[in-house]
Amino acid sequence: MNDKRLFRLLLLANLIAFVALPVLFWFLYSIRSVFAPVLTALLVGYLLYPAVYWGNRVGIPRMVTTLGLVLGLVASTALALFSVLPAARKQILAVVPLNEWTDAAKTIESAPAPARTPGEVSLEDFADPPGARARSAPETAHWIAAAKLRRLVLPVVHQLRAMGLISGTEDELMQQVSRWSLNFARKLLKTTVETGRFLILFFFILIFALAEGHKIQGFVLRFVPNEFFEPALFIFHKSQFILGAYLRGLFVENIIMGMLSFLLLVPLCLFTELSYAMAVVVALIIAVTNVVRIIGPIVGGVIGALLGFSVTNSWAVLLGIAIVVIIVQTLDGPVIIPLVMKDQLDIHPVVCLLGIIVGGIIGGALGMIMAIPVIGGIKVVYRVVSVEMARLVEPGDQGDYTLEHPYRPIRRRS
Amino acid sequence: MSPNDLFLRLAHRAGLRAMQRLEQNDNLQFLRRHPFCREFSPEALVFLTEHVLERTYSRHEVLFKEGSPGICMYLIRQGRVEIFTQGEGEAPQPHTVYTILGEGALFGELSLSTVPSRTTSARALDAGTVLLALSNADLDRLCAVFPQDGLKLVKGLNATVGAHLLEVDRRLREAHREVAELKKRLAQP
Repeated sequence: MNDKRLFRLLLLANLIAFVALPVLFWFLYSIRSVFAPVLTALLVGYLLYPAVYWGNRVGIPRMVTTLGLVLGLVASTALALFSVLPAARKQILAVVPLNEWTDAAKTIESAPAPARTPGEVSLEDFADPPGARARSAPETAHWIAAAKLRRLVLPVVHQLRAMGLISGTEDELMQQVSRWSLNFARKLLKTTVETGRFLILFFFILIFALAEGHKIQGFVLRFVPNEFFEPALFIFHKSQFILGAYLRGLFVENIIMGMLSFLLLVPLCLFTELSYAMAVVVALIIAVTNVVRIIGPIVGGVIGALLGFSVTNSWAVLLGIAIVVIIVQTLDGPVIIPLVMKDQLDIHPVVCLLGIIVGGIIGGALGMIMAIPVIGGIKVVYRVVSVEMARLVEPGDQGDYTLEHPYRPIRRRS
Repeated sequence: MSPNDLFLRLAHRAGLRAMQRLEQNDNLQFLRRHPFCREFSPEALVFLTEHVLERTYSRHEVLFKEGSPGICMYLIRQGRVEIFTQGEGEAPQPHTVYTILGEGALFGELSLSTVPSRTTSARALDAGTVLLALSNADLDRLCAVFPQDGLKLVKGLNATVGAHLLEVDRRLREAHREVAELKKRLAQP
């Protein structure tokens, strides 16, 4: 009789979860612009919290350490950007020779104007005709902007047309470029506003998480009824443990992956045109993209191999990097992960993949990283609810919430 | 005043304010007086104050039931708690009171060691009973961060468990003696 009741209860709970989870995901998706910075800030806060904690232990107030950390974070981000931007510019120029195009543009401009074909538009067309009415200030600004854009774009259009990459009259191409420029400007503005909003929310939540993080658990548990106090406390502790163990494990795993990748790329450097610096970059890409389970290694491998190929133009390098990625990934599952992740979550690959996709939709790259510990947390909640339901049906000992084996069946009285 | 001096002064002021706030904390005052924590270092005492969770119970509200998974122990800051058993489930028994605990007493400590499920039930006897809960994970943290103070607390828990065992042993001997006397009486014609 009790078994039937338990079955009915579990069925009901599963049905509720089946309906509630998509609703929850939809809700999180609809507030993702707020959710993403909050999640990022909480994660960064979680990672930096030990510094605040240890600072507090030696007598430094939390707020002082927090502000120091936030300022340090801002400074290091700015420093990283300033050091990465020149290198990125160099890399972009290697692929897209903007400098050469600018030189070509100067040459075209300084050269005598070629004979105009019918329908061709030139800069002279923008000159005021004799006796035209005086332009207003906005009209003048618009005219100057259009002339500048034309001046900037026309040489590039000439170059691309000469290379056979585009076709059409200059006018059509200019119109197209204008549309692109307008869309680009709109997107840039939108991205700037979104980035600003993200940063404001991120730093606000980060400061709160660092300075008052120790009170979050107590504050949330205050709203939990006494009856569910211990299950809720267990969920808190276990989720924290899972997140900490996962992030620490991931960090160590990625360091090992990066070093191993570099070591395997060294022979490639010796026998092909791949430079050591590029090998370091490829190893870093393999290590960093590995933070996202399943999808990350594939993306990292493809990017690394293509980057190596684009720089050396050698098929041997492409193949070599692909082989290195396959070797490293083959070693990762059975050797590296068991070494570094003591408390493996044992999540089915299909659930893992689905979680990563949903996490990616809701929280972007961070959502993909956090998908695994979140699934681990959901498993803990499921286990606690199962035990409590079993106890509801049949009071008494129905097993513990189980720290080590979340899938252990609920103990039954014979 | 140099920026360095200003920073130090601000940090000092913030630290003083935080200490004043802590001094007004009832839990800190209670733990400072408690026999287990009396010899704690000030830092460990603050740590413990920040990690214990305060819960308030109404009269006859059940704290936990026999057989439920236990993950924390409780210190009674205010009010009284009844430890009892009812043998719920397939073997219901009459409500048997083991003991009634008052302010400063500790219970539920077995869940911090090897016993995952509660061996008895507990309920508050007074309205507004205030308990401080310390979880297994927080005890581990205390022992990791302040090993000396953690050891003192563990020794205190050990002493409590020992006292319970002695009490159980005394009662068992008493029961044995009573059974023996009853047997003797029954054997007499």
